[in-house]
Amino acid sequence: MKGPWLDVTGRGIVSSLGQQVETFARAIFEGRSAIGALDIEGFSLRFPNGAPIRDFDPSAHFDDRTRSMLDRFAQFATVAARAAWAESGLTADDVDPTRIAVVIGTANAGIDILDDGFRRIFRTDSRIPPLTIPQTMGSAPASRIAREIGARGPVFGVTSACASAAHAMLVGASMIRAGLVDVAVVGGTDSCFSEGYLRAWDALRVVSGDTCRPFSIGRKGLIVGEGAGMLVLERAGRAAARGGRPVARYLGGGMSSDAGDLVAPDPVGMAGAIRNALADAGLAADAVDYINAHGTGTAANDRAEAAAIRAVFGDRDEQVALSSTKSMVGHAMGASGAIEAIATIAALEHGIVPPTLNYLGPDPEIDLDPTPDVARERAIDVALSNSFAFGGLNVALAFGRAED
Amino acid sequence: MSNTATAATVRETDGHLSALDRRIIEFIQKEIQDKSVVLTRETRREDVAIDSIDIVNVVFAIEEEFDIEVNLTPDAKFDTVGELIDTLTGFIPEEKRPS
Repeated sequence: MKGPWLDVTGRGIVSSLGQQVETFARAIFEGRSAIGALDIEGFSLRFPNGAPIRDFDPSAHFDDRTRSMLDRFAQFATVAARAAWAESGLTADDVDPTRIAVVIGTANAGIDILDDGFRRIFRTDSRIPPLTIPQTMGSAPASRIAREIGARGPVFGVTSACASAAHAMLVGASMIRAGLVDVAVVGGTDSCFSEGYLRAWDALRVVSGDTCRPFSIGRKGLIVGEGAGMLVLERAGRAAARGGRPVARYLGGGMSSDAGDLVAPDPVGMAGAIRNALADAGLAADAVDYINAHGTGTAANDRAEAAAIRAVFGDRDEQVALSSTKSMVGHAMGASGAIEAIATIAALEHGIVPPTLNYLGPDPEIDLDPTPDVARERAIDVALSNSFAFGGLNVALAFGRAED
Repeated sequence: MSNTATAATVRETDGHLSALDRRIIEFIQKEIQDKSVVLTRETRREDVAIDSIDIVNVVFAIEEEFDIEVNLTPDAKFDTVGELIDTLTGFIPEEKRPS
């Protein structure tokens, strides 16, 4: 491998299939779905279903004052980052605080509170709560996490729609490789069930009227999800030196831009990101055992992603396993890349390919096997996680098994 | 006589707090970290760590309650809760104050 790889030493997740990594991993291996009827009042949508997090209790995690300072997306991020930091076992004695980075992706930033603010202005002509600005800024989660872990190095948010978390992870990893920092807390977060946001998706008409069927014939679109995922990355060998235990390796990442349509994906751009990731990791295509696809369940994404995979991997679909966990947790937007990185690492760790649910049969335009309905056991040494955003912003990340 | 006795009882339990004072203290009480502290006009700002965020939240609550504009910046200077109450009271027209 080209390397240097990085150690992944911590993971944290807030998802509609659990708020512990092990709970989430078991759920995706069992093929459980968080997609269900949305409980909305006062407005209507063309789509009845979504995958909101129904059991997130902010008061279990924050005192009143802290909770009042954080929008839901920042609460998700903070809870996930705390878990990732705890799993890493890092303490104040292990790392110079100025050499810790926090890079957090978000597509929507504080949209719940923004939505409430607009409702106050335009529906009731009432005052805007005073903390609206600090609550809604896209960098709020990064600031909060930095405060909690004492990170005094590079701390900021990044945004690239549905690839936000993946870009954040790649940027954090790159800073470690460049020697700017020793440790990076990276990931993504989004809260997606405010009225304005749901109605905006409704207007775009790409949300499925039934469920999420990635790569399937008869797929009707994406299903809106939400959540946060966080990783702690460290320079290779650092964890072992302090007695920590890596859970996986970050092998490399690739980025590309379609320089094209705002919503129509381009297989050339997608394939470029995958090739760049393989080159960055020093891997040949035949080293890859599993691809956790972007796999939104829209007609256009899945067709383009399949073409990109075919372009890079040729006729190797017998050797490369493929699935989309969005079929279980929906599309968590700026968090999806991090939630899926955690799914990818779980697949590496356990040697299990999570399934793609709701598969009705092959689409003639997609000549790939997306592991329908039931997980499969197989040895996975190297896995890719794809994130392809609206606006043609593409990221692929390569992860490898931690050495036993 | 009975009126005087009642007034004296109020003074003993509430110090010299008016109804408006008590309402503003409720708003401040919501913001401070230690909920067990009983605020009085004499409570010193540094003892309960009232910060700029607390002030903007109290200002917002008063604006909502009395439907007024309070042009007080978060860096307002005061040493005691009583001084903050007096500053805020200055923004509330007489006719809107609780009796």
